[in-house]
This record gives sequence, structure tokens and C-alpha cells, in this order.
Amino acid sequence: MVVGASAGLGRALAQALASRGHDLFLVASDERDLRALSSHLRQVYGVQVEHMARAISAAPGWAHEVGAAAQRGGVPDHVLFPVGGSRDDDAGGLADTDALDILGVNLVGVMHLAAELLPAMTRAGRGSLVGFGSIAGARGRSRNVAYSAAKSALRTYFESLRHLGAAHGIEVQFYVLGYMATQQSYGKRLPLPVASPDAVARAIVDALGHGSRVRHLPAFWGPVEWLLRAMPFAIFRKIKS
Amino acid sequence: MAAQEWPSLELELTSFDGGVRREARVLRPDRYRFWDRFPAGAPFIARGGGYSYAAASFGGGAASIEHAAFDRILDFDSASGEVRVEAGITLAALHRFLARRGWYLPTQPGYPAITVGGCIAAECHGKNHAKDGCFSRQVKTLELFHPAHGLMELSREREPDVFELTCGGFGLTGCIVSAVLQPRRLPGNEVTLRSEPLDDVRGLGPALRAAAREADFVYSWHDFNAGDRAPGLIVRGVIGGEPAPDQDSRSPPTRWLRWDNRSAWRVPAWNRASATLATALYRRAVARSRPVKTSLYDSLFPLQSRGGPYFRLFGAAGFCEFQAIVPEASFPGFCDAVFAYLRAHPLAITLASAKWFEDESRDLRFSGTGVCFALDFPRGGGADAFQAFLDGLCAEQRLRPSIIKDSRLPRAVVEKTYPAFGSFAQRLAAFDPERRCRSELSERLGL
Repeated sequence: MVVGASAGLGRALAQALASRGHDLFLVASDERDLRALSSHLRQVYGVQVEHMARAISAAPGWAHEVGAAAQRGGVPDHVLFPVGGSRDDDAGGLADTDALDILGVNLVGVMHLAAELLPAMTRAGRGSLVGFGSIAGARGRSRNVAYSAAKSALRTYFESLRHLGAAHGIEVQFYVLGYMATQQSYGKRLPLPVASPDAVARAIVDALGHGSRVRHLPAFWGPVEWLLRAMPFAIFRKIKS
Repeated sequence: MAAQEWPSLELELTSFDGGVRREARVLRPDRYRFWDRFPAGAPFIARGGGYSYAAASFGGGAASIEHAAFDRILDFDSASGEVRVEAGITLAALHRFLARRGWYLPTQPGYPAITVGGCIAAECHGKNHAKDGCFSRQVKTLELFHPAHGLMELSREREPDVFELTCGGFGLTGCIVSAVLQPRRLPGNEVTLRSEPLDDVRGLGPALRAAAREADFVYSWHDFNAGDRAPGLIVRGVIGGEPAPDQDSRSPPTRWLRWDNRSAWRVPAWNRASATLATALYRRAVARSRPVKTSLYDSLFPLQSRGGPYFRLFGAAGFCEFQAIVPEASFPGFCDAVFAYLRAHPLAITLASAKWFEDESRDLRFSGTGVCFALDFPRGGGADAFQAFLDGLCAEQRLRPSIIKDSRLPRAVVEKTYPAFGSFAQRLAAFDPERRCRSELSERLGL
């Protein structure tokens, strides 16, 4: 199950999973993107692909519907949440609904859906939950304020899930992602290399079933995050963050 | 969402031949909602793989809209072979998909990273125009987006005039979003190539015409650096072998030859001496060759393996290609005129090649009946004067020059050699009166 599958890393993950023969349940906000991707994966890889168009948000209700549909064929083997969103005007003064939207798509929506899926997974004693943070969540920033807060909270949430998973045989993986060649980074001048979503997706799919973990992708973002965290605030605020 | 909310990149884009460079704003949408919230007001032009020799996908103050993310297979009927694809899919990806299922597109240009949308907009030809026609012959329907008209489903029955304007319309009717194509059953994944020497290029017309009736692929190669007969060969290819998937399904190379790396070797290495040596060595090598078997993939896309070094040797300055359909009766006289010019003004001719064309001409499509003859030569030196001379020949002898293969072809030459120029321009203006779709090519030709 891939949540946020229409573009970027989500689409790359769906493709990587289909190429290894996994049947898929895809969720994203736009029916047309999902229909195109589902058809493509069915035709090219011969796998079963179902999809459901729902906006991932803090609103109640949708997660129950999606969770029920996804579990119609049994407990999903792997649930991946490459979902998220940011806005250029997220500089600390977002209106309440806009800030809630960012928290909804990056954090609360993931929690809603995970809560729908966890009971069956814990009963079955198997499955993987995979979350995706961002290097932007390493420290508080002057830009992407709500986004970095949501991604930071998501990391903590997945650490909590790992406790639960350890007790019930569920694998919980969390990836801290650096720059990737998606719409989010397109046209921006970035100081460090930009990874291809396909390469990142292959690494993530390779690691499924290999145990709970927290990893940076690409790996060089690990030391970068360590440096950012170690930096005194007086210096950190001087670099354009 | 407002126009500027779609991320964009300011890039210097270059035509594949290196002749036109322009700063352009490039958008790379990856979701269908892009078409709902299309950037308002500003001119735009669709962009495929960027392999057009003319600047058809940028310039003229337009934002270039890349279709790379729209590269999926939307539907496939295994009984009829009919396939619906997004316009950004590459020929290589589509060929891999179809060949594994026993189908192929007979008409495809020689580079595998060209997109289906690009092939439709440029009305590309393949290896046997007389048998298979141009690319649009394989197109059953297409989905076009233009902000004033929305998403339109076009075919020869539904909005036929817009369909015809779009096939070979250089992207000037809007963005092709998807297309339904009709492939042909794959007779095999192997092509047997047989070469026959041809001592004098002036005799090419009848020989090429006869070969085109028998073989699946036919082309010729000539050494224009070897005197006034330009000896060479005619190559015929016949598809056969096992129809089962084979090496045609191989993975694409990690680094394609692209518009932005063609000029990676900055210093040009093609000159009179190197071209003369290279064509002489090639002529000797092929003169000895027996029938060879090659994969269908390599035959369809010969430029994947052989194109990289050849094009990069032109350096940053780039190259010029002249390609025109020469009526069979005019071909010997055309050759004599070219030989006379080259005797007086020697130039490095790196490639001289021909195919037989046989079809009616329409709009601004590069089609008609005769010898489709191509010459490559390095940009600079006497290239400009040679191109002006060839322009004169085209106008005088009513040859039809290719618009997509020449990044500087003047409007006056196009007007003289394409009888439907005026009608095409009028119908295009009626469809897009605000001229939202623009490019360097459209500005140069006044479309």
C-alpha cells in the first residue's frame, strides 16, 4: 500500500514494488493520476493494482474508508507513507486552516490511517510501516516552519510506532530524506546533490523485510543532520535555513 | 493556483543541431491537475525529448512544458495491439513494452529517447516511408490540451481539421497529452541487412524505389568526399527471426545522447580531412561486408549505438543538416548542381544518406514522393553559403526541404516549397487566434 502515490517518490515506490511483483493499493488525492499510474503498472508489470482517490488530511472519516478498502484483500504486507506537502509561504504566519492542511498531510493524516491499519497488523503479527521524514525536520527553520515541525513530529511518532511494532512483530522503518528531484525541488538552487526518486525507491524496497530502522537517504544526509544538530543556534541561524 | 505557482527553471535551451540557443522558462509538471490550473496568459510550447534540429520546443518568449512525467501506458489491447500512451513516453520504452507482447511500430525515427508526442508534432518518418508512411499513419486518436479549448479528443473522424493540424503541426495547436497508436504484429526480432554497392549516386532514384517495394527498411549511404560520383551503397533490411522477446527488451543506456550533452566535446573534430578519412574508411568497411543480422531494436534506433560519437565530434558549434524530398526525375540534376558547388567550395560532408518517400504531401508535413536526401556538414566555415545555395535549389527545383531538420530555414523558402503554407497558417490562426503556442520556429516562419 502506497499512500501519496501520484508523483515523486510515491510514484517511484509504486513502480519499484510493482517491478518486483507486488500487488498494490494506491492512495492519492487525484483520481486521474492514480488511474494513469494504476493502468501503467498493471499493463507493464502484470500486477493487481487498486486505487482510491482521497486527500490525506486531518479531517475525520476518510482514513476509515481507505483503511477498510485496503484491507478487503487481507492485511497489507507493507504500508508506505511517502505523502507530504509544503508551501513557499510557510514562514511562520500561515492562516490556521493552511497550517492545519500542512499538519494534516504531513502528520495527522498519516496517524489517522496508521491507526486504521494497526489493529489488523498487530493481530496478524506481521507487516511493515514505512514513514518518510525530511532533513528539513532536523531543526526549527525560518522557512517551511509548519512543514519542518510536522516532519519532526512524524519522526517521533514513528519511533513510538517502533515500540508498538517491536511488541507485535511489525517492522517499522523511517527514512529521513534529503533533496530529491521532484516538483518540490524543481527550479531551486540547492547546495547539495539531488537524488533520483527511482534510486531512493529501489533502496527502500530492497530494505523491506530487513527489520526496523531509521536511515538517511542518500546516506550522506546522516552526517549532514548530525552537523546541523550540533551547530550552536547562533551559527545555525546565520546559514539560510 | 496561479501561473507562477508551478515551479519552473530558467534554462538555456539549444536546438539539437546547436544552431539556436535561447533562455527559456521550463516547466516540468507531473500531475494531471496541471491541465486544470494551466498557467494563464503567457505563451507556451510543449517539449518532448529535445531532439528536434529546429527550435520547435522553445523560444519565441514561450514557456516550454516538458512531458517527461507523462510517460505511461494507459491501455493496451492484446488482440488488436492498440495502445494508449501518454505523450511523454519514449520510443524505447514503448518498443520494449510492445515487443514483449509481439507488436511494434513500423514508423519510428532513429533515436530511442524521442517521445511519442514529439513524433506526432514533427510527423517523423521511419525506415520505409513508401510502405509505412509517416508517424501519424499509426495514430488513431489523440488527446490535445489548449487553454482556450480545454482537453480535446481528436481523430480523423472527430475534429478532423484540428487532428490534421496537430500531426506535423510542430506543437502549435497545444500540448498532446496522450495518443492511441496502432502497432503492427512483430514478424520477428531480427533484421537481416543486405548492402549493394552503388557506384554513382545519380542512379539512386530507381534503385531506391525498387528496393523500397521489397524490403522493410531501405536507406542509402554515399561518400560525398570521394569525387563526383559519390559512391556508396543501398541497404535493405528484412525483419524475421523469432518473434519472441530478445535483446530488443534490453535496458536503456544510463546516459542518452541529449540536446545538452551533444556538445560535451567542445572542440569540433569534423573537418575536410577527418570527414574524408572517415567516409573512405567506412566505405571500405561496408564494401567487404556480407549480409548481417542485427536486432530489430538496433535497426530501429541505430543512433543509440552509433550516434553519440558522430554528433559529439561536431563540438559546441554544432552541425547543419539539409534534408529534402527530391523528385526522382530531378535527382541526377540536383546531384550535379551539388557536386559543382562542392568542387568550387569544398566542404566536409560527414553524412550523405537517402530514403525513398512515396505519399501525398499535406500541410507542413515533410512528405511527398521522391528521394528523401540528407547531407550533414559542420556549422561555420562555408556552411551558411552552402545552405543558401541549397535554399536556392529547393526554390528553383521545387524540392521540399525538411522544416524540423533545419534550424534556420527561412520563411521565404518554406512558402515557396510548401504549397499549403498559407492555408496551414490561416487554419492555425483560426484555432489559436491569440497565438498562445509559440516557438523560435513559429516566429521564424511567421506562424
